Amino acid sequence: MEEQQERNGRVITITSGKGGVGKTTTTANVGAALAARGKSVVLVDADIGLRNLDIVLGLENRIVYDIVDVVEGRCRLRQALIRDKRLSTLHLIPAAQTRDKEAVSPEQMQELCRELRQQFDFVLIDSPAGIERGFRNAIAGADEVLVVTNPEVSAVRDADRIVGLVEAAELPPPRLIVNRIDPELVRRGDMLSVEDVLEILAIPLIGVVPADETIVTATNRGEPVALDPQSRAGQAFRDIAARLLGEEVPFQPLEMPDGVWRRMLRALGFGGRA
Amino acid sequence: MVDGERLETTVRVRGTQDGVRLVLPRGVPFSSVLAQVREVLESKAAFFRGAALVLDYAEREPSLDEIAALQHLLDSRGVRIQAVSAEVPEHRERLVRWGLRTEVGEPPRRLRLVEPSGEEGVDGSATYVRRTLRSGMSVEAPGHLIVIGDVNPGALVVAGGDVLVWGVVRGTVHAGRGGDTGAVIAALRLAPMQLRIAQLVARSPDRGGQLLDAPALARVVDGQIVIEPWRIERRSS
Repeated sequence: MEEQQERNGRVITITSGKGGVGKTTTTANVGAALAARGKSVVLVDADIGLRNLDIVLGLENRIVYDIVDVVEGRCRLRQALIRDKRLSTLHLIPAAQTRDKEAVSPEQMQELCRELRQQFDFVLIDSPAGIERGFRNAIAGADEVLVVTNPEVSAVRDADRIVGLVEAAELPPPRLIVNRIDPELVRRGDMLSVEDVLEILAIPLIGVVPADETIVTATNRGEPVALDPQSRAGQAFRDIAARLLGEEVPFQPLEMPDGVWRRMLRALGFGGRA
Repeated sequence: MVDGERLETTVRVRGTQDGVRLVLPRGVPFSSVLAQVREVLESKAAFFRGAALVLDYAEREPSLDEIAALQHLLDSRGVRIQAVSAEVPEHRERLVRWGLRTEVGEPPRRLRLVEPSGEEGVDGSATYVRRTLRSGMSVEAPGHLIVIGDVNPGALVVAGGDVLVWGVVRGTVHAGRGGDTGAVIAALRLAPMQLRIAQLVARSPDRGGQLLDAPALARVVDGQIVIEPWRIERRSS
């Protein structure tokens, strides 16, 4: 894996404005899905001081050096790269837990992205919540931005603010991931639909991830659901990865919640596999 | 220059945390400025290619002709002007009035900020904004304001006169800020957070707001803001 051939990878920042909408889970899963397709991927945790991405990937116990060590020259880039335990083409640069966002400047992030893109096909940057320094760092070296939101008014409001900031930074219009959509609630009119969200944000859609309780358990175990062929959310993340690779993937129908599907399949005589 | 007071005569290139600034001198005719800029670009061609910079008028009086000429020159060398700035407040106001961006870095939270001028009434002129105003952005215009795009929730639009939005109003719009109750707000769709005309405020209903799915106009009738659908007479049939 020590090939010294120069690549020109894409730097993609995953951001949201509001916290808790699923940025880190999205970064981990889209990264895992891309790596599972054979792409070389590095995930960068830009949430300095609130390190999480390593936990979601189950790599916390491997951290020796972090992003601040790299930019401050205490270690070489290679030393801070942690290889994933499942996928040999997936890597992580963890955030520092004992420092804060000021520890890294936008210029240092740009430099880091420049180096990483020479070695990897995809550089995915997990942005912190908010619109301050951490966010500015996260988009400083980006070619593209993915905005994650939930079908909630407050999350959409913050996503709208972020879209404005991304436009002001003269990046191409960000693409949207609507995370945790519950088809049943949408059907009852108790949740914003994807169309409602798109009407306000007016940016291209790249993914719709259904609410899925298996994400919580998988995340706690440090297992990306994108690697679980049974998981509907995992499929949604794999679809996002495919769209990033330029493939035309239809959006999964949401109208049919899991329960109904299973009952129907069982009624049709297909075995009751979970 | 050995003058009574020292006049700046040379074009300076300054690197700041916001990027490169081209600082224009006050004390020389424009032909000299243009020649100097050309020289600077040539001597550091590699540095400038593909760059974006701020044209800093410092204390020099800006003119549209000058800016256009500089833009032409910079364009031809692959350099983009990010913003045009000035130190003198009146000059800066002039730049804003010409629709130029005066600072980089911060997003255009206030696209056109012009202080209310008090006695100066609203004449026929209007400020024109062609973009969707997203959450956190605001636009203020001394006279009428035209927005081509949506006004999203969390965005604020304020005008001394009328406000016309060719798009959906979901945020807050204030027309007739100086107290003109004759001001109106018109939009392709009015689903606002809040509308204000002069001192009057109308807010969206707290529950189950029924919005008009048609072009609409808000105006003051008997001391209240009312919203009426814009009826287009159907001549056929």
